[in-house]
Amino acid sequence: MIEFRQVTKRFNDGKFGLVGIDLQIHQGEMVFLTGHSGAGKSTLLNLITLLERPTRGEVWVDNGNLLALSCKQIPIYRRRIGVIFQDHRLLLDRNVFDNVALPLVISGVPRLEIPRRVHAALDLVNLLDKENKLPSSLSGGEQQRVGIARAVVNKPPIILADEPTGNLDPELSKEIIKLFENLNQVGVTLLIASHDYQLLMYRPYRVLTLAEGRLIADQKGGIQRADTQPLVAAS
Amino acid sequence: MSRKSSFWHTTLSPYLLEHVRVALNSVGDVLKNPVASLLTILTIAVVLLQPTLLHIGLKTAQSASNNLANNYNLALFLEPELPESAALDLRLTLQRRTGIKNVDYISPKQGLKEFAERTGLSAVIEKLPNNPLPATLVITPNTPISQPQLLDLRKQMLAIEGVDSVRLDIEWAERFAKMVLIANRIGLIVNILLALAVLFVIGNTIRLAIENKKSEIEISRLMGATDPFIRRPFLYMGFLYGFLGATFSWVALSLIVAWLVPPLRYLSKIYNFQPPTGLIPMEIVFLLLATGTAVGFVGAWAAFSSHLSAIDRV
Ligand SMILES: Nc1ncnc2c1ncn2[C@@H]1O[C@H](COP(=O)(O)OP(=O)(O)O)[C@@H](O)[C@H]1O
Ligand SMILES: [Mg+2]
Repeated sequence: MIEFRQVTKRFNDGKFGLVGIDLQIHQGEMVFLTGHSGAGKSTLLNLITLLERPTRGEVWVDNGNLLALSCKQIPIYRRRIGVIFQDHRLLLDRNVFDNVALPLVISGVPRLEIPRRVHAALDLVNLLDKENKLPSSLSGGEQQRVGIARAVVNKPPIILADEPTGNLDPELSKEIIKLFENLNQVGVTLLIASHDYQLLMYRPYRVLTLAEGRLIADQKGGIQRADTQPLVAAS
Repeated sequence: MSRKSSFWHTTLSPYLLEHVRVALNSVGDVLKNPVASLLTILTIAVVLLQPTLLHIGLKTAQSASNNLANNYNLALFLEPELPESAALDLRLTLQRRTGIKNVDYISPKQGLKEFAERTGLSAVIEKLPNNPLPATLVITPNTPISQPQLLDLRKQMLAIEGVDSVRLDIEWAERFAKMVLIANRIGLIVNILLALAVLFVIGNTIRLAIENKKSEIEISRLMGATDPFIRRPFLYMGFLYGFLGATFSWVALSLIVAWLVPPLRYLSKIYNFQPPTGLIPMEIVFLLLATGTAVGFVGAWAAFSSHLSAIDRV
């Protein structure tokens, strides 16, 4: 589903964001991407959403080379990816309904169909009763759930999340991960960037670890406490 | 945007509906900051007002100039000692000459009376100790008549005994026509400069609007919004600013013209041209609205194109 082939990203200032990344994520997988702040997690996700272009190497999504996409095709490609941010990036002057409806409006979904699909997405994150509220009147966990509803409303086959639990306490974080698991169960491929080791410990997820732009570990069965030690020591 | 009556859903095509939605949103955005929006609209209105006024002024001047050009008259000022009977005899003689259509005799008394009527200075004139005006014969030549022929006619008239001097209006009429032509060209340049000013005002307003919606644009991009989709609300906004600015300008113009009509009517009697009516001609209103909206649209487009590259794009 997502494949990186010898991908290197060097920024204009000469700094390397990623170095020689090779990885493969299959359809229906739920993968965590971890590493310290500055390790290159966001850069990796940005290469998938085409906010950045690789300096070398190729990114393939859904058996298509992203290099082959024309400017006109990029918006259509992006509609198949749901994106979730640490700071949720909701539109503060729109209510919950309008925020969640945005991807549908963008993709030109017929007007009549929008309320039904927005309600389905809000139901999934348990916020049906908040549809007329402004984001500022919601708690942090609720705001993040609105962000998730917005990411899934278009039923994208791929969801990328960048530090989705970064601002939340452990209880709420677990809730969010539970939501991701539910999505994964209906076949969505998820790639979640997080430096929250506590969250991943002793769980059966596949975990990719980045350090200074390099992929230093790809563990299938989750990470153990000991694995985190060298990383902390290295920084 | 979530609750709209089903009428809209069923009778309008989705594409049209999308445009209606965006247009209504743009109206909402303009109304959201009423003070700032009004300032922009008034600025556009004032800027648009100047070329329109200039245009109307030039039209009036042109009609006056055309009238003057077709009304070449020779005024023969007679010597003061010439008795009135001799003047009337001269009139009959001239009347019979070829090339002359008509000769009018204006006695000094009559001349003074007309002057008083035209200028409204009768109070001053009554105080004059004696009449300073000579008796005058006004000759209307047969038209068309060329300039050399006119000058030749003037020479012949000057040679006549009893004629003190001859005034030919041709020079003044031509000078006036040339001035109108120059004013017309300057007007064109001024119009272009003012159109650029409107472009700048609208472009700047749209640039601010884009800046305010930067995060919305970024997030929409990431969700797969196309450039036309993102551009559309700003184009509507530019269109709306231009249209409202032009409408305000029209209102202001009507007030100004209404204020100018009485003195112009008075001038038109003296200089013999068509006085403007209180109404703005439809073609000028149309031109004003069309220019306003077009410039608004183009300004928004330019602002968007130049500003979009600043907002990250890959
Ligand atoms: N646009 C950019 N220009 C220059 N350097 C950048 C840019 N974006 C990220 N970087 C650098 O690339 C490295 C990886 O950043 P990032 O992918 O954001 O890390 P993470 O998300 O893991 O915290 C960091 O050192 C960061 O400073
Ligand atoms: Mg990051």
